[in-house]
Amino acid sequence: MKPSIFFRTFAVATMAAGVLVAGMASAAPDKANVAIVVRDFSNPYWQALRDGAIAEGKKLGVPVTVQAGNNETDTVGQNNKISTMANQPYNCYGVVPVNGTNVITPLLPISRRGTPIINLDTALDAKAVKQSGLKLASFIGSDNSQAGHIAAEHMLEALDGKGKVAILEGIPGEQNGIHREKAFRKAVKGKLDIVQATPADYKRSKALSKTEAILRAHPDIKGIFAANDLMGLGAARAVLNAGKKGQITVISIDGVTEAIKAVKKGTLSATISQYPYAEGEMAVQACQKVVQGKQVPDDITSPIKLITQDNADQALKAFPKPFFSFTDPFGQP
Amino acid sequence: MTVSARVARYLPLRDPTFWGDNAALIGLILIGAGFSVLSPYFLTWGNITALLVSASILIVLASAQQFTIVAAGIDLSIAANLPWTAVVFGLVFNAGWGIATAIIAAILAGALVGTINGLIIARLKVTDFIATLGMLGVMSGLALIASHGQSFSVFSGFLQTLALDAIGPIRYFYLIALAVVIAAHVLFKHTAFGTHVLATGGNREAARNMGIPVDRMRVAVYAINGALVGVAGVLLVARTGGADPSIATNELLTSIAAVVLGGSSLFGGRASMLGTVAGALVLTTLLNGFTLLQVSSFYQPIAVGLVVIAAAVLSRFQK
Repeated sequence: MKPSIFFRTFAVATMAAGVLVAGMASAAPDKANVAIVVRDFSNPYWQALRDGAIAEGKKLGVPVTVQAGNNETDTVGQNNKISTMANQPYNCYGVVPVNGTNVITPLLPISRRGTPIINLDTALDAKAVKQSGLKLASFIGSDNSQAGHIAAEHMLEALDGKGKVAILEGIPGEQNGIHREKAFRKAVKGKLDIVQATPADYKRSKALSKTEAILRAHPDIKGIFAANDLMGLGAARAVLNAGKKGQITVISIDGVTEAIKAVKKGTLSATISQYPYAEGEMAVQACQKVVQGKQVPDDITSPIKLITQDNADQALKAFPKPFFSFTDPFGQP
Repeated sequence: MTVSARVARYLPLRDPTFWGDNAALIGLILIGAGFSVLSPYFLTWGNITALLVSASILIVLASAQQFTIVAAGIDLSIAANLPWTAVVFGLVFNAGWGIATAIIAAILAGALVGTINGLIIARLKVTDFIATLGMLGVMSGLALIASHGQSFSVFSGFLQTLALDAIGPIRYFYLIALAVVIAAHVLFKHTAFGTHVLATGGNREAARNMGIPVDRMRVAVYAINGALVGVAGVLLVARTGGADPSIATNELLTSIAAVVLGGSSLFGGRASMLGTVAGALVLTTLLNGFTLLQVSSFYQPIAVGLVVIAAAVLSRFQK
């Protein structure tokens, strides 16, 4: 029996594609071809990471593709992106996982064929990585505990070391938020009175309504710590609506443009700026190094900075890049 | 004889009901053909495998959804039942009870939620939409409570094999989805139970008059739906390496979209497992192709939405 037209076409197409893949992969072995998968693009934080990576790719002449899931908790969608991109001729992958484990399984086939993978922003669960046999070339991310600690110190200073505060938490179970909150709690223990901690899922509208409820339940509250800027902006709005601007200190973490502008205006007391843009740049730099067979550090800490009214202008001017110098193992980008 | 004339002899292309009945399958072929022209990677075995693996969880969830939709119901609680079964699975396994017990626990936990849905709907006469919307809230809270609001790692060699290994070129992961689909197909088309369920969905009063225990049928479809969500929960943990209590809204919406794409009516009485699988594959293929072509994520839901509407328009021509 003769093979059907469909089968023959399919076989030819498959072979052609195979040849093409092999050709593209071997054409430039010393040049990175970077694929980055982040959580979602509706959060300006991940947009900044994407923009940093793409800008650095242009600078180095390295092709960079950035994809994302549908939302902050889209574990499966993110996996499907990785599985799809695993079959394209990328030779270095950067991934911001949704949680401590979700991307490990789809990354394993990539890791097993020896392609370098860089864990970005949110650290994968070290034990799960080891158990699964996943190999990571490096971790690039900011120290979220440190960010929580800085937020706490600023809160203590603003409140003269005493008073009632509330915490707006991120999505339950999200690691970065947990580290931020833990460090904050540790630093204010015995000084500030945390009267309430409630998740607002990193969302502005949810933070607004939760803060309104908090203000009703605790009219004498002095400070609100939000685990990200979108929630901080929501809380600041609720404070403004309640006519309590200036009486309640709102501090959040991330340093998105709108938050820095709010700090400048005084509705938000401070934001601890992380630099996802720099993370994106460093990810591409690290990929280029690894692909060229050079060593990169296992753990690269990206910069963070407390932004208050004093330096908000400076921060805005340089945005999305850091306005201060920091240690970049790849040289100042 | 020209090719088109030959094709026309076998396929009733001028008959609008042909297009209506096979909307998802035709869509899948067209979309697949389009992507294979646009991307050299689309028709590689590696990518087809990735596509089928990516579609597996959705196929199982859409099969679960199919059971309720056939009976003129709908299950919104899937978005919370899925993480709930994943959390139960993870907790039981991490407590050292072994993989088999954990799988059974996940399926039972899901079936329990489904049964409660069914009882609220059939006994307390609450509409499906409201009952499952209520359970969506209840179960998402319980999943958070059971997991202390934390996602946690669940590692086992068995799960890794399930997620990554293959018999020859066939991955275990989608074999499970295939098994679920075949079982559901047989149940709908070749058993008395299936006939009764279809009758219940098609015309409840007529079914009741024929002596079909309509209420029991409705509880049964929700129980099966829940058990299948449990199966999907196990696949989810295998694929994501852990249990995450976050609500799975995407999975809920795509499971309904897949069934509707597949030609099943939301008013019940129609089951097409082939259509549902094709529907799930259409949705997954769109995302796969767009990712290969590096189309921005913002455009992807637009395409998915348009395809769902197009399929619904075509399905007006169903027999």
